[in-house]
Amino acid sequence: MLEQNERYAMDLIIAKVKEGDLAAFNVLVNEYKGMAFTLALKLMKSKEDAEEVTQDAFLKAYTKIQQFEGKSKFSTWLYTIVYHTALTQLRKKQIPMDSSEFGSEQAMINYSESDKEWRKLQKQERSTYIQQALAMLSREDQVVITLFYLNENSLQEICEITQWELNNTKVRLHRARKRLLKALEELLDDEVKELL
Amino acid sequence: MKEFDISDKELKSLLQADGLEEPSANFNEALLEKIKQAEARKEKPVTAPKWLLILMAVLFIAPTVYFVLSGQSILTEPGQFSLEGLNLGVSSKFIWIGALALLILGITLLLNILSGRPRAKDRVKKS
Repeated sequence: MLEQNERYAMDLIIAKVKEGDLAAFNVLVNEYKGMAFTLALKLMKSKEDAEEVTQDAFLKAYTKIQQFEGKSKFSTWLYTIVYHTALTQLRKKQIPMDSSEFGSEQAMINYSESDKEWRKLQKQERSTYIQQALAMLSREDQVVITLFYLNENSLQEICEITQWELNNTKVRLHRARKRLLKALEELLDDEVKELL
Repeated sequence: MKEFDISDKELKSLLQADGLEEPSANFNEALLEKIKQAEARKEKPVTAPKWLLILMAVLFIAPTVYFVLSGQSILTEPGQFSLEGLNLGVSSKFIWIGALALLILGITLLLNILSGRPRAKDRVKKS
């Protein structure tokens, strides 16, 4: 019921934006700028560039709002614009999407030590490690992890945002998750080594 | 050796614990300013001042009316033009160049007026 009311309220706001109501659009900006900026930041890796991409994406969303038919969620439509605006910027800057400081071929790390170290950590410390590990992944991996785990987008929504095939998305998510855990293991291993 | 693993639930909760990144404090203002600038560009096309339009009309209409009323023709022989009927006391070469420049200017203005007219569906209500 609550979700239905929220959806109804969102439809009203979008209808207002379609009439050119800037105040209504400001409500949408406040609602979605956090996630839009986070997504842009994962791709652009610089706050200035991410902010520019997010603003351009919101501007495009405002000017093309008549094209939004409500077949998907507004957020999904907006993040699609953010994602593709960021890709265009990366292409202009000639930055490849799959560049990562963290390679896929990693040496096996002592599981028991990493696991013990992990269990010792407080929630806040674990969260910090996760963020550090995430930053070590490629842009593509960060995007899929952010959309699926942070923003709780479904696989279908991720397909819509990124224009990837469903099977491809599943594989990418699975691999990104694995690489995230390996990066985390590496960080924990370094921690253990420092303590010894 | 068993691989180090974390459940999806824990991963989600840890990623969400830090929350979302926030853009700068003036994000909304800067965005609204960009929108206003984009709208201004869309709604306010470059239009010709009225005096220029009147001048153009005089420059185009007056010779036409002159030719029509005086019964003179710029066509002396088939395929040949002569502007001597205008009797402006300037070389016909300059008259042709001037006429061509005015024609280009006229077409540019006309196209500008036609393409710049705001369409009803593009008008945006301000609030």
